[in-house]
Amino acid sequence: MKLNGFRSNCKFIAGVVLIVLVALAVNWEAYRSGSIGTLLDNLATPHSGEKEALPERVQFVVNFLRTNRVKSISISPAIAKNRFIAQPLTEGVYPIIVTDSADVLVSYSKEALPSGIVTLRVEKGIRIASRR
Amino acid sequence: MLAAVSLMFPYLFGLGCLLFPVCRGIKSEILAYNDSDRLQLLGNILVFGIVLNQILVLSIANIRMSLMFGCVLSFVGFMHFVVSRAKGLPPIIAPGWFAILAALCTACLFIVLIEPLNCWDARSVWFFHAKMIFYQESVYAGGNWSLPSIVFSHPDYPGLIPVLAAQIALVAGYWNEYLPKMSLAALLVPAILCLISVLREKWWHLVFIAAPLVCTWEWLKNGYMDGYFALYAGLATFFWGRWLDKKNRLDLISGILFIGVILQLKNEGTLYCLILAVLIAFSALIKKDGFRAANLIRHYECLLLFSLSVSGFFLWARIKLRFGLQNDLHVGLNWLDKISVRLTDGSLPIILKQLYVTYNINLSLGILLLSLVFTLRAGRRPGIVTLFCSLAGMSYFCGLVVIYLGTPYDLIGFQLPSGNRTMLPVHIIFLAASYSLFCRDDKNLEPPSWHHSEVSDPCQLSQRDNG
Repeated sequence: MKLNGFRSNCKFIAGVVLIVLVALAVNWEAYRSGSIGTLLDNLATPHSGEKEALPERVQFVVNFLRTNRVKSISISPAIAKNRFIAQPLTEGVYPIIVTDSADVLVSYSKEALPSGIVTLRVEKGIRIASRR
Repeated sequence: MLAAVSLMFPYLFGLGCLLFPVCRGIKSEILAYNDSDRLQLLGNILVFGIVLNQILVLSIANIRMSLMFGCVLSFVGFMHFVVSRAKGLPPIIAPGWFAILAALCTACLFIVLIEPLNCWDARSVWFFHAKMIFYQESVYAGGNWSLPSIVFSHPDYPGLIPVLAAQIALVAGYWNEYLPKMSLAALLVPAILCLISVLREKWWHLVFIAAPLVCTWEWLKNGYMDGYFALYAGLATFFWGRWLDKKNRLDLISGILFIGVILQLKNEGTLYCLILAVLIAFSALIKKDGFRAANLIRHYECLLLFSLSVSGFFLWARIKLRFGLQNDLHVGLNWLDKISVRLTDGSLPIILKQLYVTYNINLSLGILLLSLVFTLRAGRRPGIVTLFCSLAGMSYFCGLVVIYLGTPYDLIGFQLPSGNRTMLPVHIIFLAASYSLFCRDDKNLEPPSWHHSEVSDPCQLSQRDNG
Protein backbone atom coordinates (compact mmCIF):
# COMPACT_ATOMS: atom_id res chain seq x y z
CA MET A 1 0.00 0.00 0.00
CA LYS A 2 2.84 2.37 0.95
CA LEU A 3 4.61 1.53 -2.29
CA ASN A 4 1.45 2.43 -4.21
CA GLY A 5 1.28 5.78 -2.42
CA PHE A 6 4.96 6.45 -3.11
CA ARG A 7 4.57 5.59 -6.79
CA SER A 8 1.53 7.82 -6.98
CA ASN A 9 3.40 10.74 -5.34
CA CYS A 10 6.35 10.26 -7.69
CA LYS A 11 3.94 10.41 -10.63
CA PHE A 12 2.52 13.74 -9.48
CA ILE A 13 5.96 15.23 -8.73
CA ALA A 14 7.15 14.12 -12.17
CA GLY A 15 4.06 15.73 -13.70
CA VAL A 16 4.72 19.06 -11.97
CA VAL A 17 8.40 19.00 -12.95
CA LEU A 18 7.44 18.21 -16.56
CA ILE A 19 4.97 21.12 -16.69
CA VAL A 20 7.55 23.52 -15.20
CA LEU A 21 10.22 22.36 -17.67
CA VAL A 22 7.89 22.73 -20.67
CA ALA A 23 6.81 26.21 -19.52
CA LEU A 24 10.47 27.26 -19.09
CA ALA A 25 11.50 25.78 -22.42
CA VAL A 26 8.66 27.46 -24.26
CA ASN A 27 9.47 30.84 -22.70
CA TRP A 28 13.24 30.51 -22.85
CA GLU A 29 13.59 33.54 -25.15
CA ALA A 30 11.46 35.66 -22.83
CA TYR A 31 13.52 34.44 -19.87
CA ARG A 32 16.77 35.40 -21.59
CA SER A 33 15.49 38.79 -22.70
CA GLY A 34 14.39 39.60 -19.16
CA SER A 35 10.71 40.11 -19.99
CA ILE A 36 9.74 37.59 -17.30
CA GLY A 37 11.09 39.98 -14.66
CA THR A 38 8.83 42.76 -15.93
CA LEU A 39 5.75 40.54 -16.27
CA LEU A 40 4.06 41.68 -13.06
CA ASP A 41 4.78 45.34 -13.87
CA ASN A 42 3.36 44.88 -17.35
CA LEU A 43 0.22 43.25 -15.99
CA ALA A 44 -0.33 45.94 -13.37
CA THR A 45 0.24 49.01 -15.57
CA PRO A 46 -2.63 50.55 -17.55
CA HIS A 47 -1.90 50.82 -21.30
CA SER A 48 1.30 48.75 -20.96
CA GLY A 49 2.37 46.95 -24.11
CA GLU A 50 1.28 49.71 -26.48
CA LYS A 51 4.91 50.61 -27.20
CA GLU A 52 5.58 47.09 -28.40
CA ALA A 53 2.29 46.68 -30.25
CA LEU A 54 1.44 50.00 -31.93
CA PRO A 55 3.38 51.70 -34.75
CA GLU A 56 5.37 54.74 -33.51
CA ARG A 57 3.33 57.30 -35.42
CA VAL A 58 0.12 55.82 -34.00
CA GLN A 59 1.56 55.95 -30.47
CA PHE A 60 2.16 59.67 -30.85
CA VAL A 61 -1.44 60.25 -31.95
CA VAL A 62 -2.84 58.07 -29.14
CA ASN A 63 -0.82 59.89 -26.48
CA PHE A 64 -1.75 63.33 -27.81
CA LEU A 65 -5.48 62.55 -28.00
CA ARG A 66 -5.53 61.01 -24.51
CA THR A 67 -3.69 63.95 -22.97
CA ASN A 68 -6.15 66.38 -24.54
CA ARG A 69 -9.21 64.26 -23.68
CA VAL A 70 -10.49 64.17 -27.23
CA LYS A 71 -13.75 62.19 -27.65
CA SER A 72 -13.75 61.54 -31.39
CA ILE A 73 -11.56 62.06 -34.44
CA SER A 74 -11.80 62.02 -38.21
CA ILE A 75 -9.09 60.55 -40.38
CA SER A 76 -8.15 61.79 -43.83
CA PRO A 77 -9.06 59.62 -46.84
CA ALA A 78 -5.36 58.96 -47.48
CA ILE A 79 -4.90 57.54 -43.99
CA ALA A 80 -8.18 55.62 -44.20
CA LYS A 81 -6.83 53.91 -47.34
CA ASN A 82 -3.68 52.71 -45.54
CA ARG A 83 -4.90 49.87 -43.33
CA PHE A 84 -1.50 49.56 -41.68
CA ILE A 85 -2.11 52.96 -40.08
CA ALA A 86 -5.92 53.21 -40.04
CA GLN A 87 -6.56 49.91 -38.25
CA PRO A 88 -4.01 50.29 -35.42
CA LEU A 89 -5.12 53.91 -35.06
CA THR A 90 -8.81 53.03 -34.78
CA GLU A 91 -8.28 50.25 -32.24
CA GLY A 92 -5.41 52.00 -30.44
CA VAL A 93 -7.27 55.24 -29.73
CA TYR A 94 -10.49 53.55 -28.58
CA PRO A 95 -12.63 54.67 -26.60
CA ILE A 96 -11.94 57.72 -28.77
CA ILE A 97 -13.99 56.86 -31.83
CA VAL A 98 -13.28 57.51 -35.49
CA THR A 99 -16.18 59.24 -37.25
CA ASP A 100 -16.65 61.43 -40.31
CA SER A 101 -17.83 64.47 -38.42
CA ALA A 102 -15.33 65.03 -35.60
CA ASP A 103 -13.61 68.33 -34.81
CA VAL A 104 -10.14 66.78 -34.71
CA LEU A 105 -8.61 65.57 -37.96
CA VAL A 106 -5.67 63.19 -38.30
CA SER A 107 -3.88 63.31 -41.64
CA TYR A 108 -0.43 62.92 -43.19
CA SER A 109 1.70 66.04 -42.71
CA LYS A 110 2.15 66.25 -46.50
CA GLU A 111 -1.60 66.54 -47.11
CA ALA A 112 -3.13 69.99 -47.64
CA LEU A 113 -5.44 71.08 -44.84
CA PRO A 114 -9.05 72.00 -45.63
CA SER A 115 -9.97 75.61 -44.90
CA GLY A 116 -11.01 76.48 -41.35
CA ILE A 117 -8.72 73.90 -39.79
CA VAL A 118 -5.54 74.65 -37.83
CA THR A 119 -2.61 72.41 -37.08
CA LEU A 120 -2.22 71.35 -33.45
CA ARG A 121 0.81 69.12 -33.76
CA VAL A 122 2.95 67.51 -36.44
CA GLU A 123 5.19 64.56 -35.63
CA LYS A 124 6.53 61.47 -37.43
CA GLY A 125 4.82 62.47 -40.66
CA ILE A 126 1.37 62.74 -39.06
CA ARG A 127 -0.57 65.94 -38.50
CA ILE A 128 -3.23 66.44 -35.86
CA ALA A 129 -5.45 69.38 -36.68
CA SER A 130 -8.64 70.93 -35.33
CA ARG A 131 -11.46 73.18 -36.47
CA ARG A 132 -11.03 76.82 -35.43
CA MET B 1 -4.97 42.98 -11.06
CA LEU B 2 -4.32 40.33 -8.41
CA ALA B 3 -8.06 39.75 -8.07
CA ALA B 4 -8.40 39.24 -11.82
CA VAL B 5 -5.47 36.82 -11.91
CA SER B 6 -6.35 34.83 -8.81
CA LEU B 7 -10.14 34.72 -8.98
CA MET B 8 -10.76 33.75 -12.60
CA PHE B 9 -10.44 29.99 -12.17
CA PRO B 10 -12.30 29.82 -8.82
CA TYR B 11 -15.09 31.93 -10.40
CA LEU B 12 -15.36 29.60 -13.40
CA PHE B 13 -15.14 26.53 -11.18
CA GLY B 14 -17.98 27.81 -8.95
CA LEU B 15 -20.17 28.50 -11.99
CA GLY B 16 -19.20 25.15 -13.46
CA CYS B 17 -20.28 23.33 -10.28
CA LEU B 18 -23.84 24.11 -11.37
CA LEU B 19 -23.25 21.25 -13.81
CA PHE B 20 -24.08 18.90 -10.92
CA PRO B 21 -27.68 20.12 -10.50
CA VAL B 22 -28.11 20.29 -14.31
CA CYS B 23 -26.81 16.74 -14.89
CA ARG B 24 -27.70 14.94 -11.67
CA GLY B 25 -26.57 11.60 -13.04
CA ILE B 26 -22.93 12.61 -12.72
CA LYS B 27 -23.06 12.50 -8.94
CA SER B 28 -24.01 8.85 -8.90
CA GLU B 29 -21.45 7.99 -11.58
CA ILE B 30 -18.50 9.86 -10.11
CA LEU B 31 -17.79 7.04 -7.65
CA ALA B 32 -16.83 4.75 -10.48
CA TYR B 33 -14.70 7.32 -12.30
CA ASN B 34 -10.96 6.76 -12.61
CA ASP B 35 -8.41 9.59 -12.61
CA SER B 36 -8.80 10.18 -16.35
CA ASP B 37 -12.57 10.55 -16.08
CA ARG B 38 -12.14 12.90 -13.16
CA LEU B 39 -9.76 15.14 -15.10
CA GLN B 40 -12.26 15.15 -17.96
CA LEU B 41 -15.01 16.06 -15.50
CA LEU B 42 -12.93 18.92 -14.09
CA GLY B 43 -12.31 20.17 -17.63
CA ASN B 44 -16.06 19.96 -18.27
CA ILE B 45 -16.82 21.91 -15.09
CA LEU B 46 -14.52 24.74 -16.18
CA VAL B 47 -15.96 24.74 -19.70
CA PHE B 48 -19.50 24.80 -18.30
CA GLY B 49 -18.43 27.80 -16.20
CA ILE B 50 -17.25 29.57 -19.36
CA VAL B 51 -20.46 28.71 -21.24
CA LEU B 52 -22.68 29.84 -18.36
CA ASN B 53 -20.74 33.07 -17.92
CA GLN B 54 -21.19 33.80 -21.62
CA ILE B 55 -24.94 33.19 -21.40
CA LEU B 56 -25.19 35.56 -18.43
CA VAL B 57 -23.29 38.34 -20.19
CA LEU B 58 -25.19 37.99 -23.46
CA SER B 59 -28.54 37.94 -21.62
CA ILE B 60 -27.90 40.84 -19.24
CA ALA B 61 -25.68 42.82 -21.66
CA ASN B 62 -24.08 44.94 -18.91
CA ILE B 63 -20.80 43.22 -17.99
CA ARG B 64 -20.61 44.72 -14.48
CA MET B 65 -24.09 43.50 -13.54
CA SER B 66 -23.62 40.13 -15.21
CA LEU B 67 -20.31 39.65 -13.40
CA MET B 68 -21.96 40.41 -10.05
CA PHE B 69 -24.80 38.01 -10.84
CA GLY B 70 -22.23 35.49 -12.02
CA CYS B 71 -20.36 35.81 -8.70
CA VAL B 72 -23.59 35.06 -6.82
CA LEU B 73 -24.24 32.02 -9.01
CA SER B 74 -20.63 30.93 -8.66
CA PHE B 75 -20.96 31.12 -4.87
CA VAL B 76 -24.19 29.11 -5.04
CA GLY B 77 -22.50 26.51 -7.25
CA PHE B 78 -19.52 26.32 -4.94
CA MET B 79 -21.73 25.93 -1.87
CA HIS B 80 -23.71 23.21 -3.66
CA PHE B 81 -20.44 21.42 -4.28
CA VAL B 82 -19.33 21.85 -0.64
CA VAL B 83 -22.67 20.52 0.66
CA SER B 84 -22.52 17.59 -1.77
CA ARG B 85 -19.00 16.83 -0.58
CA ALA B 86 -20.21 16.89 3.01
CA LYS B 87 -22.97 14.46 2.02
CA GLY B 88 -20.44 12.01 0.63
CA LEU B 89 -19.64 13.14 -2.93
CA PRO B 90 -16.06 11.99 -3.59
CA PRO B 91 -13.42 14.59 -4.50
CA ILE B 92 -13.32 15.51 -8.17
CA ILE B 93 -9.57 14.97 -8.34
CA ALA B 94 -7.08 13.30 -6.03
CA PRO B 95 -5.00 15.64 -3.80
CA GLY B 96 -1.88 14.97 -5.87
CA TRP B 97 -3.63 16.23 -8.97
CA PHE B 98 -4.11 19.62 -7.27
CA ALA B 99 -0.34 20.15 -7.54
CA ILE B 100 -0.51 19.28 -11.25
CA LEU B 101 -3.52 21.56 -11.71
CA ALA B 102 -1.87 24.49 -9.89
CA ALA B 103 1.32 24.03 -11.94
CA LEU B 104 -0.74 23.77 -15.13
CA CYS B 105 -2.75 26.95 -14.43
CA THR B 106 0.40 28.90 -13.52
CA ALA B 107 2.26 27.61 -16.59
CA CYS B 108 -0.67 28.47 -18.91
CA LEU B 109 -0.96 31.98 -17.45
CA PHE B 110 2.78 32.44 -17.68
CA ILE B 111 2.96 31.31 -21.31
CA VAL B 112 -0.07 33.27 -22.47
CA LEU B 113 0.74 36.52 -20.65
CA ILE B 114 4.43 36.86 -21.41
CA GLU B 115 3.94 38.69 -24.72
CA PRO B 116 1.69 41.69 -25.37
CA LEU B 117 -1.07 41.58 -27.97
CA ASN B 118 0.87 42.33 -31.12
CA CYS B 119 -0.60 40.10 -33.81
CA TRP B 120 -2.84 41.65 -36.42
CA ASP B 121 -6.18 39.85 -36.07
CA ALA B 122 -5.81 39.52 -32.31
CA ARG B 123 -5.56 43.30 -32.02
CA SER B 124 -7.91 44.29 -34.83
CA VAL B 125 -10.63 41.76 -34.19
CA TRP B 126 -10.83 39.77 -30.97
CA PHE B 127 -9.24 42.03 -28.41
CA PHE B 128 -10.53 45.18 -30.09
CA HIS B 129 -14.03 43.82 -29.48
CA ALA B 130 -12.99 43.13 -25.88
CA LYS B 131 -11.74 46.70 -25.55
CA MET B 132 -15.04 48.05 -26.89
CA ILE B 133 -17.04 45.89 -24.47
CA PHE B 134 -14.79 46.89 -21.56
CA TYR B 135 -14.94 50.65 -22.15
CA GLN B 136 -18.69 50.67 -22.78
CA GLU B 137 -19.29 48.03 -20.06
CA SER B 138 -21.77 46.30 -22.33
CA VAL B 139 -21.85 43.67 -25.06
CA TYR B 140 -23.75 46.25 -27.11
CA ALA B 141 -20.56 48.38 -26.97
CA GLY B 142 -22.68 51.51 -26.73
CA GLY B 143 -23.95 50.90 -30.26
CA ASN B 144 -20.43 51.22 -31.65
CA TRP B 145 -20.71 47.87 -33.45
CA SER B 146 -22.41 49.62 -36.34
CA LEU B 147 -19.79 52.39 -36.75
CA PRO B 148 -18.52 52.43 -40.36
CA SER B 149 -14.94 52.97 -39.13
CA ILE B 150 -14.78 49.57 -37.40
CA VAL B 151 -16.05 47.43 -40.28
CA PHE B 152 -12.50 46.10 -40.67
CA SER B 153 -12.80 44.37 -37.29
CA HIS B 154 -15.67 42.09 -38.39
CA PRO B 155 -18.05 43.06 -35.56
CA ASP B 156 -20.24 40.05 -36.35
CA TYR B 157 -17.59 37.58 -35.12
CA PRO B 158 -18.61 35.65 -31.97
CA GLY B 159 -17.57 37.06 -28.63
CA LEU B 160 -16.57 34.29 -26.24
CA ILE B 161 -13.00 35.49 -25.69
CA PRO B 162 -13.81 39.22 -26.06
CA VAL B 163 -16.39 38.94 -23.26
CA LEU B 164 -14.01 37.07 -20.94
CA ALA B 165 -11.19 39.52 -21.70
CA ALA B 166 -13.45 42.51 -21.04
CA GLN B 167 -14.52 41.02 -17.71
CA ILE B 168 -10.89 40.51 -16.68
CA ALA B 169 -10.09 44.13 -17.55
CA LEU B 170 -13.19 45.21 -15.63
CA VAL B 171 -12.05 43.39 -12.48
CA ALA B 172 -8.57 44.91 -12.83
CA GLY B 173 -10.08 48.34 -13.54
CA TYR B 174 -7.94 49.21 -16.57
CA TRP B 175 -7.00 48.07 -20.05
CA ASN B 176 -3.56 47.07 -21.21
CA GLU B 177 -2.10 44.77 -23.83
CA TYR B 178 -1.20 41.95 -21.42
CA LEU B 179 -3.88 41.30 -18.82
CA PRO B 180 -6.89 40.61 -21.12
CA LYS B 181 -4.89 37.75 -22.67
CA MET B 182 -5.61 35.88 -19.46
CA SER B 183 -8.93 34.95 -21.04
CA LEU B 184 -6.96 32.60 -23.31
CA ALA B 185 -5.72 30.66 -20.27
CA ALA B 186 -9.35 30.13 -19.24
CA LEU B 187 -9.82 28.11 -22.44
CA LEU B 188 -6.37 26.54 -22.46
CA VAL B 189 -6.53 24.90 -19.02
CA PRO B 190 -9.73 22.83 -19.60
CA ALA B 191 -8.46 21.80 -23.04
CA ILE B 192 -5.16 20.56 -21.58
CA LEU B 193 -7.01 18.80 -18.74
CA CYS B 194 -9.11 16.95 -21.30
CA LEU B 195 -6.01 16.16 -23.35
CA ILE B 196 -4.32 14.71 -20.23
CA SER B 197 -7.51 12.80 -19.48
CA VAL B 198 -7.15 10.82 -22.69
CA LEU B 199 -3.56 9.97 -21.77
CA ARG B 200 -4.67 7.11 -19.50
CA GLU B 201 -1.94 4.74 -18.35
CA LYS B 202 0.27 4.66 -21.40
CA TRP B 203 2.96 7.31 -21.30
CA TRP B 204 3.87 6.93 -24.96
CA HIS B 205 0.43 8.39 -25.70
CA LEU B 206 2.11 11.67 -24.71
CA VAL B 207 3.12 11.89 -28.37
CA PHE B 208 -0.52 12.25 -29.38
CA ILE B 209 -1.11 14.81 -26.65
CA ALA B 210 2.04 16.80 -27.38
CA ALA B 211 1.35 16.81 -31.13
CA PRO B 212 -1.83 18.97 -31.00
CA LEU B 213 -0.12 21.42 -28.67
CA VAL B 214 2.98 21.61 -30.86
CA CYS B 215 0.81 22.09 -34.01
CA THR B 216 -1.23 24.88 -32.48
CA TRP B 217 1.39 26.38 -30.19
CA GLU B 218 1.94 29.75 -31.86
CA TRP B 219 -1.82 30.12 -32.29
CA LEU B 220 -2.53 29.45 -28.64
CA LYS B 221 -0.52 32.38 -27.32
CA ASN B 222 -0.78 35.04 -30.03
CA GLY B 223 -4.40 35.98 -29.36
CA TYR B 224 -5.92 34.30 -32.45
CA MET B 225 -8.85 31.94 -31.94
CA ASP B 226 -7.71 29.35 -34.48
CA GLY B 227 -5.54 27.31 -32.10
CA TYR B 228 -8.33 27.07 -29.54
CA PHE B 229 -10.89 26.30 -32.22
CA ALA B 230 -8.68 23.47 -33.47
CA LEU B 231 -8.07 22.03 -29.99
CA TYR B 232 -11.73 22.15 -29.03
CA ALA B 233 -12.86 20.79 -32.41
CA GLY B 234 -10.41 17.87 -32.12
CA LEU B 235 -11.49 17.08 -28.57
CA ALA B 236 -15.20 17.47 -29.35
CA THR B 237 -14.94 15.12 -32.34
CA PHE B 238 -13.05 12.57 -30.26
CA PHE B 239 -15.55 12.72 -27.37
CA TRP B 240 -18.59 12.54 -29.68
CA GLY B 241 -17.03 9.57 -31.46
CA ARG B 242 -16.29 7.83 -28.18
CA TRP B 243 -19.85 8.50 -27.04
CA LEU B 244 -21.21 6.88 -30.20
CA ASP B 245 -19.00 3.90 -29.46
CA LYS B 246 -19.50 3.47 -25.71
CA LYS B 247 -22.53 5.62 -24.82
CA ASN B 248 -20.61 7.06 -21.88
CA ARG B 249 -22.50 10.00 -20.35
CA LEU B 250 -19.32 11.94 -19.52
CA ASP B 251 -18.25 11.91 -23.18
CA LEU B 252 -21.68 13.14 -24.22
CA ILE B 253 -21.45 16.01 -21.71
CA SER B 254 -17.96 16.89 -22.97
CA GLY B 255 -19.14 16.80 -26.58
CA ILE B 256 -22.12 19.04 -25.84
CA LEU B 257 -20.12 21.58 -23.85
CA PHE B 258 -17.30 21.73 -26.36
CA ILE B 259 -19.77 22.39 -29.15
CA GLY B 260 -21.06 25.34 -27.13
CA VAL B 261 -17.53 26.76 -26.99
CA ILE B 262 -16.79 26.05 -30.65
CA LEU B 263 -19.98 27.81 -31.81
CA GLN B 264 -18.99 30.93 -29.89
CA LEU B 265 -15.30 30.96 -30.78
CA LYS B 266 -15.36 31.47 -34.54
CA ASN B 267 -17.88 31.58 -37.37
CA GLU B 268 -16.38 28.35 -38.73
CA GLY B 269 -17.95 26.73 -35.67
CA THR B 270 -21.28 26.72 -37.49
CA LEU B 271 -19.84 24.68 -40.37
CA TYR B 272 -18.15 22.30 -37.93
CA CYS B 273 -21.35 21.78 -35.91
CA LEU B 274 -23.41 21.19 -39.06
CA ILE B 275 -20.96 18.49 -40.14
CA LEU B 276 -21.02 16.91 -36.69
CA ALA B 277 -24.83 16.98 -36.59
CA VAL B 278 -25.07 15.25 -39.98
CA LEU B 279 -22.52 12.60 -38.97
CA ILE B 280 -24.28 11.91 -35.67
CA ALA B 281 -27.63 11.65 -37.48
CA PHE B 282 -26.12 9.16 -39.93
CA SER B 283 -24.65 7.14 -37.06
CA ALA B 284 -28.07 7.09 -35.43
CA LEU B 285 -29.62 5.78 -38.65
CA ILE B 286 -26.98 3.08 -39.10
CA LYS B 287 -26.73 2.00 -35.45
CA LYS B 288 -30.40 2.04 -34.62
CA ASP B 289 -30.09 -0.30 -31.64
CA GLY B 290 -27.80 2.12 -29.82
CA PHE B 291 -30.30 4.93 -30.25
CA ARG B 292 -33.41 3.24 -28.89
CA ALA B 293 -35.69 5.46 -26.84
CA ALA B 294 -34.84 3.53 -23.68
CA ASN B 295 -31.15 4.25 -24.18
CA LEU B 296 -31.71 7.89 -24.96
CA ILE B 297 -33.99 8.50 -21.97
CA ARG B 298 -30.97 7.77 -19.80
CA HIS B 299 -29.45 10.96 -21.18
CA TYR B 300 -32.53 13.20 -20.94
CA GLU B 301 -30.68 15.65 -18.67
CA CYS B 302 -28.28 16.31 -21.49
CA LEU B 303 -31.09 17.97 -23.47
CA LEU B 304 -31.14 20.81 -20.93
CA LEU B 305 -27.36 20.96 -21.05
CA PHE B 306 -27.45 21.05 -24.86
CA SER B 307 -29.95 23.93 -24.90
CA LEU B 308 -27.82 25.83 -22.38
CA SER B 309 -24.67 25.12 -24.33
CA VAL B 310 -25.92 26.42 -27.68
CA SER B 311 -28.02 29.27 -26.30
CA GLY B 312 -25.03 31.63 -26.31
CA PHE B 313 -24.85 31.25 -30.09
CA PHE B 314 -28.50 32.32 -30.48
CA LEU B 315 -28.16 35.16 -27.97
CA TRP B 316 -25.26 36.53 -30.01
CA ALA B 317 -27.33 36.08 -33.20
CA ARG B 318 -30.02 38.25 -31.57
CA ILE B 319 -27.47 40.99 -30.88
CA LYS B 320 -26.20 40.77 -34.46
CA LEU B 321 -29.76 41.15 -35.70
CA ARG B 322 -30.28 44.15 -33.45
CA PHE B 323 -27.26 45.97 -34.91
CA GLY B 324 -27.66 44.63 -38.45
CA LEU B 325 -24.26 42.92 -38.34
CA GLN B 326 -23.62 40.64 -41.30
CA ASN B 327 -20.71 38.47 -42.26
CA ASP B 328 -18.60 39.98 -45.04
CA LEU B 329 -18.52 36.66 -46.95
CA HIS B 330 -22.32 36.87 -47.56
CA VAL B 331 -22.69 33.08 -47.70
CA GLY B 332 -25.77 32.05 -49.69
CA LEU B 333 -27.11 30.93 -53.03
CA ASN B 334 -25.30 33.87 -54.64
CA TRP B 335 -22.13 31.82 -54.11
CA LEU B 336 -23.14 29.27 -56.76
CA ASP B 337 -22.07 31.53 -59.64
CA LYS B 338 -18.72 32.27 -58.04
CA ILE B 339 -18.12 28.60 -57.27
CA SER B 340 -18.98 27.49 -60.80
CA VAL B 341 -16.56 30.09 -62.21
CA ARG B 342 -13.75 29.03 -59.86
CA LEU B 343 -14.36 25.36 -60.64
CA THR B 344 -13.60 26.04 -64.30
CA ASP B 345 -10.86 28.68 -64.10
CA GLY B 346 -8.25 26.44 -62.43
CA SER B 347 -8.72 27.78 -58.92
CA LEU B 348 -9.65 24.39 -57.44
CA PRO B 349 -6.24 22.74 -58.06
CA ILE B 350 -4.53 25.83 -56.63
CA ILE B 351 -6.67 25.67 -53.49
CA LEU B 352 -6.16 21.93 -53.07
CA LYS B 353 -2.41 22.16 -53.64
CA GLN B 354 -2.09 25.04 -51.20
CA LEU B 355 -4.18 23.43 -48.46
CA TYR B 356 -3.16 19.81 -48.97
CA VAL B 357 0.55 20.20 -49.72
CA THR B 358 1.70 23.62 -48.50
CA TYR B 359 -0.24 23.49 -45.27
CA ASN B 360 0.65 19.83 -44.66
CA ILE B 361 -2.75 18.16 -44.58
CA ASN B 362 -0.97 15.35 -46.44
CA LEU B 363 1.20 14.88 -43.36
CA SER B 364 -1.62 14.42 -40.85
CA LEU B 365 -3.57 12.27 -43.33
CA GLY B 366 -0.39 10.23 -43.85
CA ILE B 367 -0.05 9.71 -40.08
CA LEU B 368 -3.67 8.54 -39.97
CA LEU B 369 -3.20 6.11 -42.86
CA LEU B 370 0.05 4.72 -41.39
CA SER B 371 -1.66 4.25 -38.02
CA LEU B 372 -4.50 2.49 -39.83
CA VAL B 373 -2.09 0.12 -41.60
CA PHE B 374 -0.29 -0.55 -38.30
CA THR B 375 -3.60 -1.30 -36.57
CA LEU B 376 -4.83 -3.62 -39.31
CA ARG B 377 -1.50 -5.49 -39.36
CA ALA B 378 -1.78 -5.96 -35.61
CA GLY B 379 -5.09 -7.71 -36.26
CA ARG B 380 -7.30 -5.00 -34.78
CA ARG B 381 -10.23 -3.29 -36.45
CA PRO B 382 -10.61 0.49 -36.38
CA GLY B 383 -13.54 1.54 -34.21
CA ILE B 384 -16.39 3.98 -34.63
CA VAL B 385 -14.30 6.79 -33.10
CA THR B 386 -11.73 6.51 -35.86
CA LEU B 387 -14.34 6.43 -38.59
CA PHE B 388 -16.23 9.33 -37.03
CA CYS B 389 -13.12 11.50 -36.61
CA SER B 390 -11.84 10.70 -40.11
CA LEU B 391 -15.17 11.56 -41.72
CA ALA B 392 -15.46 14.75 -39.65
CA GLY B 393 -11.93 15.82 -40.63
CA MET B 394 -12.49 15.13 -44.32
CA SER B 395 -15.91 16.81 -44.37
CA TYR B 396 -14.53 19.89 -42.62
CA PHE B 397 -11.67 20.04 -45.13
CA CYS B 398 -14.18 19.82 -48.03
CA GLY B 399 -16.36 22.48 -46.37
CA LEU B 400 -13.41 24.86 -46.16
CA VAL B 401 -12.52 24.18 -49.81
CA VAL B 402 -16.09 25.20 -50.76
CA ILE B 403 -15.72 28.38 -48.69
CA TYR B 404 -12.45 29.21 -50.47
CA LEU B 405 -14.19 28.55 -53.80
CA GLY B 406 -17.04 30.90 -52.99
CA THR B 407 -15.20 33.74 -51.29
CA PRO B 408 -15.91 37.12 -52.86
CA TYR B 409 -12.35 38.30 -52.05
CA ASP B 410 -9.06 37.85 -53.87
CA LEU B 411 -8.41 34.12 -53.49
CA ILE B 412 -4.66 33.90 -54.02
CA GLY B 413 -3.43 37.08 -52.38
CA PHE B 414 -5.91 37.51 -49.54
CA GLN B 415 -7.79 34.34 -48.62
CA LEU B 416 -5.49 31.38 -49.23
CA PRO B 417 -2.65 32.63 -46.99
CA SER B 418 -5.05 32.14 -44.06
CA GLY B 419 -4.99 28.40 -44.80
CA ASN B 420 -2.14 27.80 -42.36
CA ARG B 421 -4.54 28.52 -39.50
CA THR B 422 -7.87 27.45 -40.97
CA MET B 423 -6.39 23.98 -41.58
CA LEU B 424 -5.43 23.52 -37.91
CA PRO B 425 -8.76 21.84 -36.97
CA VAL B 426 -8.31 19.34 -39.82
CA HIS B 427 -4.84 18.44 -38.50
CA ILE B 428 -6.08 17.99 -34.94
CA ILE B 429 -9.16 15.98 -35.96
CA PHE B 430 -6.97 13.64 -38.05
CA LEU B 431 -4.60 13.32 -35.09
CA ALA B 432 -7.59 12.45 -32.90
CA ALA B 433 -8.54 9.78 -35.42
CA SER B 434 -5.00 8.38 -35.35
CA TYR B 435 -4.94 8.42 -31.56
CA SER B 436 -8.28 6.64 -31.37
CA LEU B 437 -6.68 3.66 -33.15
CA PHE B 438 -4.24 3.18 -30.26
CA CYS B 439 -6.43 3.84 -27.24
CA ARG B 440 -9.10 1.20 -27.60
CA ASP B 441 -8.14 -1.08 -24.76
CA ASP B 442 -9.35 0.32 -21.47
CA LYS B 443 -8.54 -2.77 -19.44
CA ASN B 444 -5.37 -1.38 -17.93
CA LEU B 445 -6.94 1.79 -16.64
CA GLU B 446 -5.75 2.88 -13.26
CA PRO B 447 -8.24 2.99 -10.40
CA PRO B 448 -8.94 6.44 -8.97
CA SER B 449 -5.92 7.39 -6.85
CA TRP B 450 -8.00 8.92 -4.04
CA HIS B 451 -9.33 5.54 -2.92
CA HIS B 452 -6.20 3.45 -3.38
CA SER B 453 -6.25 2.82 0.33
CA GLU B 454 -10.01 2.57 0.76
CA VAL B 455 -11.78 0.37 -1.73
CA SER B 456 -10.20 -1.11 -4.82
CA ASP B 457 -13.40 -1.93 -6.67
CA PRO B 458 -15.69 0.94 -7.70
CA CYS B 459 -18.67 -1.46 -7.67
CA GLN B 460 -18.17 -1.99 -3.94
CA LEU B 461 -18.32 1.76 -3.49
CA SER B 462 -21.55 1.99 -5.45
CA GLN B 463 -23.07 -0.79 -3.40
CA ARG B 464 -21.88 0.83 -0.18
CA ASP B 465 -23.31 4.15 -1.30
CA ASN B 466 -26.65 2.63 -2.20
CA GLY B 467 -27.13 1.17 1.16
